[in-house]
Amino acid sequence: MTLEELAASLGFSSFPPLFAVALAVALVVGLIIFVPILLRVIEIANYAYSNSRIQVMSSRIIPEEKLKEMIEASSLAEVVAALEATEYSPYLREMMDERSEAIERALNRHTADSYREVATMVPMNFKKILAVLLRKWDVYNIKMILRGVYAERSPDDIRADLVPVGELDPSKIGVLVEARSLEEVISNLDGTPYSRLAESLQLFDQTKNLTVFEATLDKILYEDAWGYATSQPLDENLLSLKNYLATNIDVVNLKFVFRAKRDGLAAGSIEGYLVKGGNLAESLIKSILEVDSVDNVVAALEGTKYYQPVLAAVPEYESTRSILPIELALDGYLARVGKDISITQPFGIGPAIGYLSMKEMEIRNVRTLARGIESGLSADEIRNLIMKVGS
Amino acid sequence: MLDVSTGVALAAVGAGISMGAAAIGSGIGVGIAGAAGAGAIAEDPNKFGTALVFQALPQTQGIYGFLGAVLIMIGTGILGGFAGFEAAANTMAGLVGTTPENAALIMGLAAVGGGLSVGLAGLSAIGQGITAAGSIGAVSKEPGAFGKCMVLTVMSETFAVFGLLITILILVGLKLLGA
Repeated sequence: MTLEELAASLGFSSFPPLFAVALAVALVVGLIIFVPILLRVIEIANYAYSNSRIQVMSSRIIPEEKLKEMIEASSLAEVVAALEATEYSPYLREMMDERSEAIERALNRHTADSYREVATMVPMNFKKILAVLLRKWDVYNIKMILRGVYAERSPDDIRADLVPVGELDPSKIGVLVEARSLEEVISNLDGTPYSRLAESLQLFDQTKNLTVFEATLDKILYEDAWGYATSQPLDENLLSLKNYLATNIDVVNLKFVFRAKRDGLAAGSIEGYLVKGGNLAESLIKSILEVDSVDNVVAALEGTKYYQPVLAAVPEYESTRSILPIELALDGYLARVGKDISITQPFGIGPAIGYLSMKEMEIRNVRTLARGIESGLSADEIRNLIMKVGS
Repeated sequence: MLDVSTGVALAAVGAGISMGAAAIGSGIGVGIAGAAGAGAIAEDPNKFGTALVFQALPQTQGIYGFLGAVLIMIGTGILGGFAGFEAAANTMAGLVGTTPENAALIMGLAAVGGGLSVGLAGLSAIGQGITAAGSIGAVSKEPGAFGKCMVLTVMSETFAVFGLLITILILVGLKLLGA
């Protein structure tokens, strides 16, 4: 059969019209296949620039080996010298003295600048998600202000401890810092997501314990973030955010429960502080609240992803009777989740979540290290306080 | 009644698809890798070398497309215009024992097939660009991963090479090249 005969058998006058129709069909089929691929490629391309920058920024995070060397430092001057070789260098030059507080302030300024940089470089559709993550620093700042005002520190001293990043307007932060009483701080939070803090004033008056406010702030932060993550149509990025937030909420709740159980608090007095949401089933949380010791909380976690990390920290808890090893294990697990997201989702919010998570760990460790050396702790003691990425 | 102009047109379409589709693939791939490279350089200008190497990889599909188009044009004789194509069609007609019009049509369709092969295979540059972008980020974070990331990025190249190979085999098999 010739091409002309083939065309005739299909009802075409000659081969060229048959070829034209075949080409048109091929084009339509091609478009149907190619357009979704192209949309995905455009999405990936959006993240190529920002994620590559974030990866370079991540490469500057102090590696574990360097941190181990810094732990062996015999003075803060040695720590500062080691930090001179890192990206903290320009911030350290502004230090007036070599005290751990001065190092912390340098860390805070650097952190704020890094986060602001990440916030400006990410694609538009990620800015909202990043804002949810950066609100953690609003809560950190409010906690610092509450502690500062409670301890009657000067506004300048309080201001120096803040990390100027987050969603709160700098002018609002300025007003909060100038407040002279906790009531004034809380009334100045009107119109912000943290105005609900006023509900805790009565309880604070009874207990005089700042944990009341701090736990309420965590509750506001994570419940709002969880509400956002669960109310949006789920895409890959939101799924990762949801996974990360859920782990955050579980870790915050578990740390609170472990502390409460160590102090022998009853279920009724803990329940109101727990953040709603997360991965742990409500029934499991309820059963954990009913147990009467740290060991029983650990046993109740069997079957969850938190069991193994917590179990590994139990021997140290038993020898020291300090809850810190368990808290470090939970924080390490959270850092692992952040790191895993950055690996599994390189063209989305993964690297940003990984960076924010690892940076938080780095700041915390350098802060612990500086305070430890200043207080004359031994290298072994400091090592026990250092947070590591969970396995 | 067919004349050689249909064959010439088809041969031109084949050469066009070869270069055009491969250029789309390379353009997108190089663009994605370039954006990642720019991000790395913005943070650390010393990453330019790494970025350049990875950005260059998705360009090869464009080169294969260009090579495929040139081979199609040489094989079908359209570099010599209508006269060149007619001469090639007459030679083919003699070789396969058909009319010059039919030979022209076969040559044109072979060119379209060859062009589609190398052109569509050239779209593998998009995937390669994505891997290259990921690799730029990975190598920026961990310079020791350069070799491994290079191997991963080069993988997509295989399909572009297969595409070009099939184009050459079509042209050689139909005695448009090397006869």
